[in-house]
Amino acid sequence: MSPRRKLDRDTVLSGRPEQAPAVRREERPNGGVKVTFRRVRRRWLGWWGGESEVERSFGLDVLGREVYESCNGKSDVKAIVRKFAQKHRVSRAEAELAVTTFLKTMMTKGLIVMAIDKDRVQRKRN
Amino acid sequence: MAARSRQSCSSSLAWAGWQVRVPEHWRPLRIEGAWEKGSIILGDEGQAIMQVKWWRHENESFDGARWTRRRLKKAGAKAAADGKPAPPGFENAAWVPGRGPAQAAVWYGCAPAGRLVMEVVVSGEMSKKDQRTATSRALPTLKVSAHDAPTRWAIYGASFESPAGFVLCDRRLKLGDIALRLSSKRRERLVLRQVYPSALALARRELAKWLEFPVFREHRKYRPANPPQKWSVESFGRQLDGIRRAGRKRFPFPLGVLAPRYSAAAVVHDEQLGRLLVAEYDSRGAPDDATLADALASMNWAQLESGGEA
Repeated sequence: MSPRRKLDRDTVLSGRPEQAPAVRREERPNGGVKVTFRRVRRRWLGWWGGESEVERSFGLDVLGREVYESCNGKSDVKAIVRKFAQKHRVSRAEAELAVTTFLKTMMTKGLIVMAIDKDRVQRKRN
Repeated sequence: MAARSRQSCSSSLAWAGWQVRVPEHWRPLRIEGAWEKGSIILGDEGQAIMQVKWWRHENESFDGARWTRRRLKKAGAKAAADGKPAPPGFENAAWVPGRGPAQAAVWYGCAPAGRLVMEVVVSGEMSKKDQRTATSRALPTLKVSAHDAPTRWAIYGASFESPAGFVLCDRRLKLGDIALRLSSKRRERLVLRQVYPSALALARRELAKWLEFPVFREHRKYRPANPPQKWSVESFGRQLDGIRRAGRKRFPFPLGVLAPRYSAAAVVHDEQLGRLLVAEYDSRGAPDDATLADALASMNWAQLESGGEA
């Protein structure tokens, strides 16, 4: 098994995030959205008689929703950052930090998946 | 990466009396120290590129040449005779280029006007193009404010200007909510804050409420003298409307009679930049509206002045 290597900044910014399929979406009064999707439970929980899959819900505020909805599998992270910075009139460095941290959180929770160009990673490593 | 390395230094970073122009995608990775001495590591998402260290001296007979000699001796390095970056306003500067492929290059300089001595370390572990950007484009733009002049601050997307004599006591740098607390030898205190995007901030809490919750912990509690009033301030040719309140800050009972402070605070909405600008000034004497108005009027100089130049 190859050791896990950290991807460089350019590779991460060229990644294309895509939403994981949601079971349902509910509008929230503050302009945000509540997203519910099914997630595979850890195997050891099944030994106690639990279901193999459970529903998990996440509430996103207006800004969170905006970034989540930009994750369409077509726009890369760089484009999402640029759009966010322009819309909210913040510096690019600030937008990059905010958006990449949020995307990382959403990936950890399983709300989105990130498509990375395999050839690009190989080229960088070589 | 190549395209990025050729980018111009279009963004300002100003802290503790010095400022430098850096590429737009660079940001502070770590900030240490305070007014007297400290360091900032600058970099992008992937790596640290440059470290700026500063020390402030109050001694008018400070020998800059001796300080530089001692730094070189301590580092066991010899200064290069040519090719050194030459930021204006610095004396006794020395440039030590990296000796190996991964060796950091170091620049030393003394700024008598700001009573500052500075050391800038440029990492040797990044690409040649990034090193060139740091040494040929960013470093020559380094400058300091005079010690008796207003101090400029620019960090992330927010910029402030504090009156002369105010030094940094505390800071809170959160994306979208940036606040600095400064104090003077005359025991005046000034809190400068920006909250953005304003649309989101105002959806969470109305304008007047942004004055009610202090950013930094205080022992004294605010007691209003009058209800908050509408107020406006002129900033870079625009009129910013908001709310001002004035009152006193006292210790809780039974210590209320001890050292009360007069406080004036204002919040204005900058619709052009989509920000809430907050300033709070308190002192032992009567509140000074001019300081408050100047602090608010000069906020976001980096975006609003032509090219962000100081």
